[in-house]
Amino acid sequence: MNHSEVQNLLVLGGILFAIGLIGFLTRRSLILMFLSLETMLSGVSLNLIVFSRYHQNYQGQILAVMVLTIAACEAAIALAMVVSLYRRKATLDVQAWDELSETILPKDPQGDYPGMDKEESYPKLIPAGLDPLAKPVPSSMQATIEQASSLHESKLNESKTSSAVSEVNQRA
Amino acid sequence: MNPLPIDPKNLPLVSGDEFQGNLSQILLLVILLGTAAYLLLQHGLVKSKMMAASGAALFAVAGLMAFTSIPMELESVVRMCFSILAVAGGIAFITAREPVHAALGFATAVLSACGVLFMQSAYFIAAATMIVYAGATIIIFLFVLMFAQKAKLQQYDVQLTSPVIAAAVATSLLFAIAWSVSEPGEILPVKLDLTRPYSLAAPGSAPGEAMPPVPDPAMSTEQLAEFTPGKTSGLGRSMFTDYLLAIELAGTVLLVATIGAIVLAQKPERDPS
Amino acid sequence: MPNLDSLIWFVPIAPMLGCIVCAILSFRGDKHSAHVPAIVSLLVAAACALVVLLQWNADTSSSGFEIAEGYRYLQIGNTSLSLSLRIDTLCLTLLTVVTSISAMIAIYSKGYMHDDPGYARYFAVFCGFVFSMTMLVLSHNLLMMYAFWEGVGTCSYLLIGYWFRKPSAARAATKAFLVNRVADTAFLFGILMLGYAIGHTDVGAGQGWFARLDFQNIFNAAPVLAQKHSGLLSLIALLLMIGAIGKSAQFPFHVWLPDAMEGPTPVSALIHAATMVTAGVYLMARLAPLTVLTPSVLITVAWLGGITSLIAAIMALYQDDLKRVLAYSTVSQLGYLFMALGAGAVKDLMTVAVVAAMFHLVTHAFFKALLFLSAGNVMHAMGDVIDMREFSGLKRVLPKTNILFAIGAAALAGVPLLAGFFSKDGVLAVLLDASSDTMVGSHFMALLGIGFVTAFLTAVYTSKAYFKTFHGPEKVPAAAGHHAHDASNVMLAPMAVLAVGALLSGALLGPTGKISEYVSKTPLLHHHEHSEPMWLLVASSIIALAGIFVGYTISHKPAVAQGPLKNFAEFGRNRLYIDWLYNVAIVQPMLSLARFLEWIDTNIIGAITDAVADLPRLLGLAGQRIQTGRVPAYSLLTAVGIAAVAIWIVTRASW
Repeated sequence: MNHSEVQNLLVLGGILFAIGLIGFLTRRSLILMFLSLETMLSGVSLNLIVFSRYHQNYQGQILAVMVLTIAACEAAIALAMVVSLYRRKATLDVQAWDELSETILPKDPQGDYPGMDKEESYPKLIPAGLDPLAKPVPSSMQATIEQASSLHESKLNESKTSSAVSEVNQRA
Repeated sequence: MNPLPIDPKNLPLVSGDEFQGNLSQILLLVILLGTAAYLLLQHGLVKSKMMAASGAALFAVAGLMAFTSIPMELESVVRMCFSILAVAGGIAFITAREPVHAALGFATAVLSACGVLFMQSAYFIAAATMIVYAGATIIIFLFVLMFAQKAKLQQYDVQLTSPVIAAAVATSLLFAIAWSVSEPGEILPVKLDLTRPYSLAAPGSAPGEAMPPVPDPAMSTEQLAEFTPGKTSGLGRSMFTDYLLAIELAGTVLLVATIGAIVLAQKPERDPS
Repeated sequence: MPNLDSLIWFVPIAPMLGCIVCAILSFRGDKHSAHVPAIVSLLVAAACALVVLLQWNADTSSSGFEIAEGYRYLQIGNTSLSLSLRIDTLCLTLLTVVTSISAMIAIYSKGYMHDDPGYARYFAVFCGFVFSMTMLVLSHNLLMMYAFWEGVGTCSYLLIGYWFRKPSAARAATKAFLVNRVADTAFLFGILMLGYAIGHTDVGAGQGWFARLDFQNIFNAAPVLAQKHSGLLSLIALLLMIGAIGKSAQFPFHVWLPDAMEGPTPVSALIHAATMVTAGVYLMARLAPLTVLTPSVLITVAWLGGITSLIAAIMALYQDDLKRVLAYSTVSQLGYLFMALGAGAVKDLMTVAVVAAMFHLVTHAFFKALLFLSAGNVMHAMGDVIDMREFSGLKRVLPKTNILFAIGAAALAGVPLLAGFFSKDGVLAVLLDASSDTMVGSHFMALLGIGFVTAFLTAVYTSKAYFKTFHGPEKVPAAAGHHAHDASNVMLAPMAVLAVGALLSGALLGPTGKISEYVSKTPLLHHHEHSEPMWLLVASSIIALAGIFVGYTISHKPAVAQGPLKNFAEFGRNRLYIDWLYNVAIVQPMLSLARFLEWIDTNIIGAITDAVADLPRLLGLAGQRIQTGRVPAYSLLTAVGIAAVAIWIVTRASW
């Protein structure tokens, strides 16, 4: 592996990074900005791998694996956030999110977005069933449990009523 | 604490000839590319055929210049083709009006970059990048696009924020990178980090061999130079020995991100009324 | 002999624990049970003090005193700070008086303060005061004594301003604190100069500051200092004396004590009559081996005491407020004590002077506390009215208080065979002895005259106040309502104990020579035979009875408004214009200065500060435009910065 090759590949990594930077700075769509970030990351990975090859050890590759992992995490989180942001203002425009601006500055001329007057909601963890250690069982759940156990008995007896079980599941 | 009794100071390394600066060429390349990017940006979103054509022409000139700087061997030519394709895909990605076209450009850029990685014998990374970027990310992206994209192009799809400054900034950054790469100086071609012995490369091993051999301190410099990080098994060995903790942490981060994504993407609770 | 060294520690520690418990109760808003820890702790302290007093045998230790080692809490180089207690007969006498009277008054307070919103706070500060006072009395070191000196000052401030929502109480507390501050500053300078001077003698060489100011060390070094730097020693003694007269409310610092009557009456009885104000006297007695070397200072003390006792008696004569009469009476009696101490200026008379002062201090504590508590009963029954023009003839309404007040008043006036009679004669006898001295006798001759005049005036104002309050046509103010009644038993019982003290303490301690024998066992004091001439006893009896008669005759006449006494009465009613003079000469100029400084503060310093504060605001205005709150704008700025740094890095070699 000669040096001009290394040089060329490092410049290629730089070019990919610069393209990602231009995209991130210029595009206004949230999704495209996010893809620009990924482009920048791939330029960095390329750089690391070239050096790994040049230094004849695996350290650059390991770091590239890390970059890849974080990129995957970032993809998941960012897209989830894009979805919830879209729910709020029904737009992918990054300019719509300027709540932190100074008050003297003019507001976004585009003005209102549908759904802006909605009450803000914050994410919660999905409840994962009953707490087995909680005693007594919450009263709201009591009826459901009794119904389910009686259904179970009747199912043993008659082996039917799958629709009732699904109804119980829905209520739970 | 020193697992290998090699003193790096006494290790005679492969005498690396210094990086030769072909600065003027690289500088020209950089400026051409920057201009091309700026013009194409104007094209993609303003629809001026003149500008698009001149941008493409400039890009072609830059590509040709790059081709002239390499030796005419098969490997070099293929690598340069991949490189040019990657850059072209990237430029298409940032200049496309339609988000779907942009996604295609992104996929092209990433896949071409993976081709380059293959040629650098980083097989595992190349495959993983393909799966993660070109596979998962693009799929999720298209999914979100279907969810959120309006039928007609929106204002925010075609309008740009300060393209002149952005192109100038990126070009100057690229210029800095190119300058530093072409600066004459010595970089050690073989780097031995003795605290991480398993991360060292292994020589080309026989087919069917499970694990590559660990470099022996008694080896001669020429023998050490033959070690190349080409084996995926070597990468695996390094990951799960020297960098075990980091890899486990990365896995934990993935888990946390998964939970976070689930929580964030929930539908807000409806009003009871 | 029981282990007195550890027993003596219970005396300060018990009130301290009581203080902590009451403070905790106070934070819990307690209004009903805070008296329990206070009374229990004070009774424990009193019992311990009494046991030590009785068991203490000065003959067993050759030096006549003992140091109860305590906790050494700091050691830096050769400066070692340790809390230790010094036991000798002088401090045990005062200690017993302080703890027993405070225990009595705590019991009284249970009845007097009931239903007060700050019940627990009252008892917390009360116990804190007793703790500070006992530590002051037991200090082995002048610096440590100063710390607790300030401690009692603080407690006094808190208790005078106990009803802090009342503007007059808050002002009185501030006044007391500020007046004491002036005197205490002099005291502190005296202490520091003394430490400095001792450090330059052979005795003090190589000792740390704290160790130098140990009393025993001071007494060892004093003769050396007197020999070498007698001027410096006089200055030091003068500064220490200023501290003493400040705390004991002597002229010219007497102005704070009458105003301190804004506090609750039991507090006035304890702090501003019986105990704290005697701290100055105690300090002078404690430092007697030092002051005896500076007779000029002692003569100054004697004269200040004499002037104070005379003018305070005059002022007491024309007060309408019962508590203020007693307050001026306290000032006057403290002047007596200082006169007695001043007699130590005459050679070999120091021991007798200290004994006389301590004797009068003890008896005065009993009967003045009794008088104040009786006044408290009157106030309690009259609905917080204390102006003697508003009520009279209360002997039917308050029969028991009438008797108790009569006992206290008789003791104060010097009715023969009661406590005040013997102790006052002791003071006069010391002055008489001193007046026979060839060098400075003339001073004491004049002071003896003042003493007789003051004794006469004391009898007059005491009997005037008594007859005006309890005899004559019955008149009850409207504020008392229809339920004016005598105090409850919990208030009367401790008063009865004090009354017994006021009746008997003089006869038991004085003529039998007990107190003289006991106090003169204090180290560096030597027992001197000293007898009172019979004619003195007779003369003072006649003076007292004549004074009582005069007081009785003027008690129900309208105030002496006509005739030659008119101007004099006006003079007395206005407190001899001393407060007015202070106001004009000191307070008003200070206020003007403060207003001037305030003007400078707002218009010059404040303006500069505001201008400086405006500067960042203007800078912020310039940068405000960038804060659009949008991601692209911020990331563009970041990218520009990164590009600039990158360019700088790669090109810096060529720059």
